Amino acid sequence: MLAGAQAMAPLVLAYAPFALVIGSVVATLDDPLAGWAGSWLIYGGSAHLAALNGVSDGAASTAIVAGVLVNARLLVYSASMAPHWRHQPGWFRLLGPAMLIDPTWALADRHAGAGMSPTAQRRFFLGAGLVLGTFWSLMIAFGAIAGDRLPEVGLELAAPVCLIALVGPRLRDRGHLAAAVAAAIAAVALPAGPAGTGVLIAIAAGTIAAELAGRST
Amino acid sequence: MTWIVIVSVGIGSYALRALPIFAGGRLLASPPVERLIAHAGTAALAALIATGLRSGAAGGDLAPALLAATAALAVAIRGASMLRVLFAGAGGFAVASALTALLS
Repeated sequence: MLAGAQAMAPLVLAYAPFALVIGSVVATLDDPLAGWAGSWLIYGGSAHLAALNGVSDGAASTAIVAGVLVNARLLVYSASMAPHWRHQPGWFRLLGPAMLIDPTWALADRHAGAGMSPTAQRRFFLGAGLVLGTFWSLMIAFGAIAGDRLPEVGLELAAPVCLIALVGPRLRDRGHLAAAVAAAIAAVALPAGPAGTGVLIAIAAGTIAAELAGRST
Repeated sequence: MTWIVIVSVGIGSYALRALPIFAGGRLLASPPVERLIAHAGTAALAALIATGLRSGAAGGDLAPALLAATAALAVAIRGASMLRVLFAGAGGFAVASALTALLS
C-alpha cells in the first residue's frame, strides 16, 4: 500500500487547489455537510462541482444529470481496469471501483502494465485511492472553513499540469498522440453543451483519430 | 435537496465505475478493444487538460497557462516524475507571467 500512497502523494498536492475551490462552494450551501460528503460519495472533483453548482441554482434534476454525465468517462477507465481486476477478490471488485478516478486510474493502469501480481496491484490501488480520498476530503473541508480567505494565484492550473504528467509518456506512441491532439482540439473548439457532453464528444474524436492514425501506418 | 443530489450522483457514478468490472471483463479482453479503450482514456485526459487550462486561464491571460502546459509536457513526455513535471509547469507559468507583466 505504501508504494501506491507514495505514487499518489505529489498528485494530491497538485489537486489541493481544486479541492479548495470545491470547499469554497460547499461553504455557500444550506447543508454544507451534505456537500462535503460528496468528496467520498462522488469521489470526483468535476462531477462534484457540477452537482454543487446545480444545487446552488436550485435545480436538483439538472444537478444529478450533470454530475453523472461529467463522470461518464469513468466507464472508459473502468473498462480498461476490468481485465487487470479479473482475478481480484469480490470485496475488492466492489470497493475498488468506488475509488476509480483520473489519477488513481492513470497510476493503476501504469502499475498494472508493469506486470505486477494481482495482490501487488490491489495494495497499490488501495494505497493510492485511500490517500487521495482522505486528503481530498480534508482539503474540501479546509476550503469550506477558509472560504473567501483563500488566495487566487493561478494554482487552478496545478490539476491540468498534473494530468499532463500522467498522459505525457503515452504521447511517444503515434496512436495516443493522435487521440490526445484530436481530443484537446475538440474539447476547446466545440461550443459549450450540457455539462460533460463536451468531454464525451472529445473522447469520441480522439478515439477515431487514433484509429485513423493506426490505419495510415 | 443537497443530500438527494449528492447521493444520486454518487450512485450514478459508482454504477459507471462498476458496470464494466462486472459485466464487460470478457468482452474487453480482446486486443483491439483494449487498444480502443486505452486511446479513449488518453483522449479523456487530453480533453480534461484542455478544458482545465482554458478554465484556469479564464479571466486572465492564456499565454502563461499555455507556456506552463508546454513546459510540463516537454518534461512529461520523457517520462519524468510528477514532481519534476509540476516544477516545470510552475516555472513556465512564473516566467510567462513575469514576461506578460513586463510587456503590458
